[in-house]
Amino acid sequence: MTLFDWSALALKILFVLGISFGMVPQLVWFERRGAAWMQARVGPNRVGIFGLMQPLADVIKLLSKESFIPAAASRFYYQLAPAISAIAPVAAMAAIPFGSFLIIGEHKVPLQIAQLDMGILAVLAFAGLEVYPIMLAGWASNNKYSMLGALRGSSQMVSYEIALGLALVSMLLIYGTLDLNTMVSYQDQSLLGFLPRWGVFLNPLACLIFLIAIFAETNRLPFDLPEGESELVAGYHLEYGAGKFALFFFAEYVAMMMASALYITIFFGGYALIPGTGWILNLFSTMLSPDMFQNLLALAQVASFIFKVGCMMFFFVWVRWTLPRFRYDQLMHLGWKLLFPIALVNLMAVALIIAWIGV
Amino acid sequence: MVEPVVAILAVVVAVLATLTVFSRSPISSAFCLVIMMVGLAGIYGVSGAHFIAALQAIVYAGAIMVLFVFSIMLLNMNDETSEIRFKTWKAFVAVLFSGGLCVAMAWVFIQWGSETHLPTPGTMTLEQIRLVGGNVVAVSGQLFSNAYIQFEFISLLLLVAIASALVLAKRKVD
Repeated sequence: MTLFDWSALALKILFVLGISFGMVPQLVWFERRGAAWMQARVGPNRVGIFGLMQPLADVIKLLSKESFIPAAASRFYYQLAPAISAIAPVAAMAAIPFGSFLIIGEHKVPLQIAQLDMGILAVLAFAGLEVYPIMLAGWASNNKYSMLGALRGSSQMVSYEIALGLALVSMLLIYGTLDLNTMVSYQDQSLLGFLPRWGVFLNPLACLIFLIAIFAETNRLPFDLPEGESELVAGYHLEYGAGKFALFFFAEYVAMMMASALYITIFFGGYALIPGTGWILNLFSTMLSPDMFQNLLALAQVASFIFKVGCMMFFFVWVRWTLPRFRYDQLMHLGWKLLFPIALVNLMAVALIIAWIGV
Repeated sequence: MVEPVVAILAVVVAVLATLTVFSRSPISSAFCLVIMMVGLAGIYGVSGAHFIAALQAIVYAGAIMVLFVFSIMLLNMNDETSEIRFKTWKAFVAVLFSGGLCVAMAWVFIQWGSETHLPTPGTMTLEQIRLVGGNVVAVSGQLFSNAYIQFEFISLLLLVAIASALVLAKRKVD
């Protein structure tokens, strides 16, 4: 690798880290304001314009509080759990493409940190490790509520991973690849002349199952049983305060963002332009050289990707303040007796259709 | 570029494997094993076998070890962290056999580990894999053509394991 490649890689890593870490305070603000809006309250509006500085105030408060360790906790693991909580979702982001490629001089810079021919597997591999900080936190805190929260969290993540995996396999059959870039270029075409050929239109059932499963994987309402306040006080992060709690909070939002980015890439065309915006770009096609046009296109793709992920985050907030929490047996019933068989039948149906009529 | 990273990862993996065996509490054993699995996946990944690396992380670190840790946490095995006693004859037999195994393995490695005895690389070189279209295509091509029968038998074996686990668990409930 040359110096150019190294610096391009470093810049891409900085970009992804900057976006995913820098968006968290905005998301927290958005979540609180959105919640207030849906409940006909005002929400945080005192710090800065529209309360936009509220997350900053929260962070200063959390970081300047006393950082304590409960006497009965296992000291090493208690501190390790929040420290590793954001690693898995951030690492998974590395394999998700956020644009096609830039042309800088003679170099072609793909807008993806790790170009793997099995990107989706890499994302799943890292996402599968998301459960450990929760288990570790719950166990190391030496508290019954924490322990119950951790057990709930890990069993729910393992259960819903099955439905998620089967929904994903049906999409892999359609795309015929594990490469996320190829998936996006497959979706960047039109279906029946008026629809974009997005995964959601090709296989809406898998899209729905995947959506439900990522809500369970990220422990968001209606599946936030691991931290259900009315039953477990705060679940696995009950014994955590100050900066350590902030880290868990942070990791939850990064995991949401990662899940949204993956969902967008598989079912909503990834970084493909939002339908109906292509003609604006085409106005510039005669003015710019082909290379510059490609660069403009890539930037528009990055903007579309971020917009789509933003819509998905809005959906997360919307669902959180619309649906009540499940009971634990209902959660397991839904995962094992409903989603799992439906995903299996859907997979077989997709396989048969592909075998008969081809892709 | 590749060798130093592999060497560092290999040391980490070896240390964690040792810790897995020697740590007192079952849960820290399990967590050392988890990180060891991830490190092993790292070695595969750095060596260019991305597919195997991803499978290693998904299957071992992501699925099997979750169940390990889960059952350790459920069983609450904190009482089992007592000292190992080397007085019983069972411990003596165990040390004898494992020591013998260690010596035998060391002998095999010293005897056959030299360059001349390394297995010759098969037809699937890195260039070949790139030509075929990636790790996934190469592995699945082999799996569903040459090793098709074996693949089916292994899936049958897993089915038997699931069915027997169900039977065993069911009997206790009734």
